[in-house]
Amino acid sequence: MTTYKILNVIERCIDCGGCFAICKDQNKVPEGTARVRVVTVNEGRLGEKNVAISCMHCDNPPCVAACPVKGITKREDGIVINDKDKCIGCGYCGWACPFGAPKYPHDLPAKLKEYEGIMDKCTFCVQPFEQGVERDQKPRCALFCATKGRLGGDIAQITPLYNAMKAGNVERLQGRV
Amino acid sequence: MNMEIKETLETRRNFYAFLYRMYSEEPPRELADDLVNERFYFPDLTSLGEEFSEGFRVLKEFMEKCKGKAVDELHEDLIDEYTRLFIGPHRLPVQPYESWWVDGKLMGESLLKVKKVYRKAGIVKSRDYPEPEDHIAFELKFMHYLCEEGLSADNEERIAECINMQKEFLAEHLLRWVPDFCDGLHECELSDFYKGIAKLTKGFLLLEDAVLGELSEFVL
Amino acid sequence: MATKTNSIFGGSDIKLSRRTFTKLTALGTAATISGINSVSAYPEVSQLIADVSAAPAPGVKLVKTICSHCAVGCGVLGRVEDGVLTGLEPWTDHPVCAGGMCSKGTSIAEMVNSENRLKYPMKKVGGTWKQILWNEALDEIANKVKEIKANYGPDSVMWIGSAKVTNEECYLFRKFAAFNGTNNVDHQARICHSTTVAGMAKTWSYGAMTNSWNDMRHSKLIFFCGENAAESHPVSMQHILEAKNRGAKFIVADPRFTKSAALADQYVRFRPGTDIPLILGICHEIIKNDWHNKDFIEKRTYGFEQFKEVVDKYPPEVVADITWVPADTIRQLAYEWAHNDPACICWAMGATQHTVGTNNIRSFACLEALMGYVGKSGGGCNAFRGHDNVQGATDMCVLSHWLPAYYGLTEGSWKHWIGVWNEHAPITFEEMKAKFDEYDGKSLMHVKGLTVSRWYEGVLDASVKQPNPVKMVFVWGHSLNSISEMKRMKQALEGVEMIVGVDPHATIASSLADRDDGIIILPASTVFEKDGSVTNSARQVQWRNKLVEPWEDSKPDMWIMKELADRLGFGAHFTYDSPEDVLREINRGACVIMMRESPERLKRQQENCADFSIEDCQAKGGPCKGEYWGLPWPCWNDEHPGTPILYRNDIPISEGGNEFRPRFRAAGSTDGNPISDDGVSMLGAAYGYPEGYDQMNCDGTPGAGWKFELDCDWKEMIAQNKCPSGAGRARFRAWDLPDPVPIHREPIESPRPDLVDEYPTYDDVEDHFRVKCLYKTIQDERKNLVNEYPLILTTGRQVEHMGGGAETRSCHYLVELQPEMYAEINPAVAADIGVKHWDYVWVETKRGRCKVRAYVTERVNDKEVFMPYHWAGWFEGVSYADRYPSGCGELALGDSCNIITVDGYDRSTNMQETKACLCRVKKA
Repeated sequence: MTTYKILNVIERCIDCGGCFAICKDQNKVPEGTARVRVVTVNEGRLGEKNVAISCMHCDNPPCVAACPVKGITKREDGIVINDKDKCIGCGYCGWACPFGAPKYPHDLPAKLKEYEGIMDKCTFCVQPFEQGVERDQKPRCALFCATKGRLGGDIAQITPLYNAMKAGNVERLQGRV
Repeated sequence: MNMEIKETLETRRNFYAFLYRMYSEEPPRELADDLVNERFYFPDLTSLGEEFSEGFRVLKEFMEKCKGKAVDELHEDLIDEYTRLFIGPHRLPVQPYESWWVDGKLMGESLLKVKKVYRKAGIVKSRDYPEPEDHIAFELKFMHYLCEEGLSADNEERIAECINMQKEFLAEHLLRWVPDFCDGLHECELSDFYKGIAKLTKGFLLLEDAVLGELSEFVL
Repeated sequence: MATKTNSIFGGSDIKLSRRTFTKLTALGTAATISGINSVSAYPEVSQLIADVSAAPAPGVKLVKTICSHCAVGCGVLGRVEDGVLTGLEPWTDHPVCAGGMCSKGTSIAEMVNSENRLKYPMKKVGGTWKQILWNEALDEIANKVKEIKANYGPDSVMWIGSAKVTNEECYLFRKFAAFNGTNNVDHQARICHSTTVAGMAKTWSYGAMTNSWNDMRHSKLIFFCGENAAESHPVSMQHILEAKNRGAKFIVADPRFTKSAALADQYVRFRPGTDIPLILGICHEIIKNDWHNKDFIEKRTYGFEQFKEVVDKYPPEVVADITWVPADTIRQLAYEWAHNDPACICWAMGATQHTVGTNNIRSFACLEALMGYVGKSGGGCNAFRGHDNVQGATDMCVLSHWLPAYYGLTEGSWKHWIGVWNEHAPITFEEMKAKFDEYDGKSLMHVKGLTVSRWYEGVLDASVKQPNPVKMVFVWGHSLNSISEMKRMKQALEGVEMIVGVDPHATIASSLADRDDGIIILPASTVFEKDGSVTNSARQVQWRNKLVEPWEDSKPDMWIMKELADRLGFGAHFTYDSPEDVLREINRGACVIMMRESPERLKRQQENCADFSIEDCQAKGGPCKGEYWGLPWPCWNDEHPGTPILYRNDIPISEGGNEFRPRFRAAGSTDGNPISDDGVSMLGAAYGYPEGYDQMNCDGTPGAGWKFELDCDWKEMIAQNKCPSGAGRARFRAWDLPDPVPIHREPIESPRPDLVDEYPTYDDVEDHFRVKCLYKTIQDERKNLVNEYPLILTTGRQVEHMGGGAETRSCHYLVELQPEMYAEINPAVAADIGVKHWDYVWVETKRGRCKVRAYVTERVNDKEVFMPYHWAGWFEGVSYADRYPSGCGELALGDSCNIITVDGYDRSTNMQETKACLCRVKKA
């Protein structure tokens, strides 16, 4: 049973913006909003770290529970998607999400005006911004990650990669000069 | 062929010829000459729609301004206007491409769609023409082409086919963006002569919208 | 033309009727009387429509190509549908990037389809931009070139070339300058890694990255000195972080706490311009503790004793005072260097852009030689080059002091290339020589030309060492805001008779100068609109496939050159059937680097890319078995697998082994016996030949024949495990340099007047690439400048932008990430001057000032200011937005830091010193 997930090896994130840009390009995400964004903590000093924040397609998504119109669903394959036609833009999912993934874009171009204020988030590349044909689950952010630190795919396959990448780093951090 | 259909196609063809030519290349000296020597007459009309008559009105105003100007001077001005509106060297102020208005960027899906339409109609862009096929000039030229095809058709089915293609193209492509483009072009502070052309283009296409529906029923 | 008629449609009260024909009659009449009916009589130039049989079949294709931004050379698939680039797909089995790309790479599709690209040739006339046809433009340009040559001489045309075109076009551009009778041809490498090339070449003969991106996975210590790969070479971090995962130490030495430093095990902050004492301090401790590799030094190097003498003057306590680095840290770094075998050193502009740039790199090379890490997997001198094809453009020598493939300007070198060119179309040495002018009794054919870093002096300084100043400049694929002294350059642009800009964008070549006439800009196609090869920093040559037809009316550079060449009278020399043919000509003549990567082999590698291992870039099976990805040069013949690690001599040549070239031979040297200026043999221990051997001719006898013999495939010599370029010694002491052993010299503008006394800069140079270059005079003048300008200004990269920024500042995604120009200032400095984050500030130097946002961060300490250099469109706080018709500017404009960087230049190569000068910051 495939379960799709996204995992970040934050020790590998260099804040290159690749995930941000390719997601926007592939999913036609309009200017002013993003489905994945790199957040930097401790900028400019020891302990500086970067995390690419997006929807994590949680096992037990708080957003699904919070949505009053049952507009968000977790599919069998693990991907959490939302139906823009059901969404009323109430913002509850935004409150519920620990990652701040749901966005409610305003200032959209004319042809997307109907989606103003409607929740948008990462759909594992299954649905572009304009709800169109469903596509393959190939998260571009992970495929294009410069350092291969952002993993996206079947959890059975990416967990060993994640562990391998973290293992070395744990030693490194302990012996850090 | 029915005489009325023929006249219709001819008229529309001529209008498209004028319009696409205004966008496909810089205005020729002949146009400047015609303007200076007032060889155009733009009557006040209401029956062809507000935008259309506004277009005529604006063009008439422009022609008044041209009184007494040297032909070559006006020609240079027209060329400069065309250049800054449609050539460059910088980003164009109002993008004359369908993809821009419908997809939010150049070379978008709309371009692919119109290419399919053209291919189905049996034509492609000539290698010499540098712009992509969703440029306003090309889309108007396509309508012009279909008028010509209709005129040279030797059977009713072909005429109907051409008119139906035009109806579809107008609804699915031209009308989705050209009216907004024309508004933008009219409002743009860099346009002058093209303010009138913009209004006229929009007016004409709105008229086409009113006309083509009935026309296609007529030829069925 | 229709005439006014009175036959208005029957009356004034036509209402909208359901009868279509009434409307249409009205329309028809309107068309007739308005005159619109007859407009089809207007002449038309372009044919819009063609028959469908002329077109290629539709459908979606994934086409392999290489990113056009940096020199990592990431592969990517262009998704092409019906002739339109609709997006990108990852090339997941690309040996170097495994599908990864940074934000710039992922924006390629937007860049190719950008509304900011130049569509048509244009000319500025009377202050207005006019469209002109290609033929007109080319005619006018060619006529101007002829006129300038006739009135002033061929050296009055400056040819600024590009690192962003294909290898074939780079080669042709250098050839083009030659056929135009001048050596005034140069490109971005001058201001980027020219000191790398000089520094390394002077140490051990080739000036390129010795190892490769992937090879760093095997390092035990990766040492950055003036490198910020997280922003400038993002995908290289894939390999570096993998090495770290395997237990390697990653140490970043940089004036700023960069994004790379954030991922390092150790960060060392040092003062800009003090790389040499830092490195020599490390060497000092290594030697003191007897940690150096005596075996390697004895067998394969020269000049150690003299090196040690210099190093003795840089003990940690002395170094600490100069560099800000505590003495204990220097000792610890030395320990790391000695106990992590192998270690590699990586750098970019942080190390190269100084008056002592060449020496900086020399000191890196000496450190590697000291430990014997050079020539080993995981070791080496990893110069991280900048633009996608700057390595290729350097190899093709779009440079004013070389001919393609690092041949000098001697008669022998000219004859070599003329021999190759003559195979394509007739040309003799005498005919070529006749094209060149003379000056001071010498033919300028053999004299280094003007450089990109100071070409404007060629316009403004009447004492330039050529018959007349420069009167015409081609800015062919080069941005102008990456060059310092922008005010002088602006003046020069206003002083020339014609500027020709060739670029996919209308860059500041078209807008910087205040002038109404004399500018022609030609739209060039991007590399995605043509076939060709590209060489990344690791000397890997990759083939790019054309994705789509040229944008609008743009043309490939090769076509433009041919058209100009036709008009200038030597078109036959630039007429080739295909880019592949040009590469074959390069394969033939580029013997010094033995660039024999044929188009067929490159394409075959591309097809079979999955066979190549990410660990060492070697194909483990399949049709390319044994080959290294990109066939890194030297690639001796059609069977050779390439040389992934330079100077590695524990494997035979046939498997990629290599030796130091006995390139440097002082007076008294003979064939077979090269010696130094103090009589020491320059032959070094080689694979299979402990005594070494000199460079050879095709028959194996000692001589320089290997550089000139076109038809030798070297299989015989290689079968005997002999490297045709010889087996020599790396030099700790380069006797032919102003400083034979690197020593510290303070930057031109130094914050330490006391150190200026102790470590002064060079004496002024009368003729440095044809123009006068001041060093001591200005350093002395500005000795106490720190009293007025107390902060050190250094410049560098942002990951989202590239080069001059014309391409990237036209991309929405990239501009969203980095919308404005800024200067990084420390919170303490910000508090002092009363600014908050993102307030406007003036950053001022002796050259001028820039108005930018204040980016308050601890990345810089309270003595430093950092500015990215990718910005243009403002000049000293004044926006140039009004030079663009309203709403038509690039998406993001900003002040250019190179207006205010210092007028100092590397002593050997004329590289600009943009990494260290003095400034002050004020609230705006």
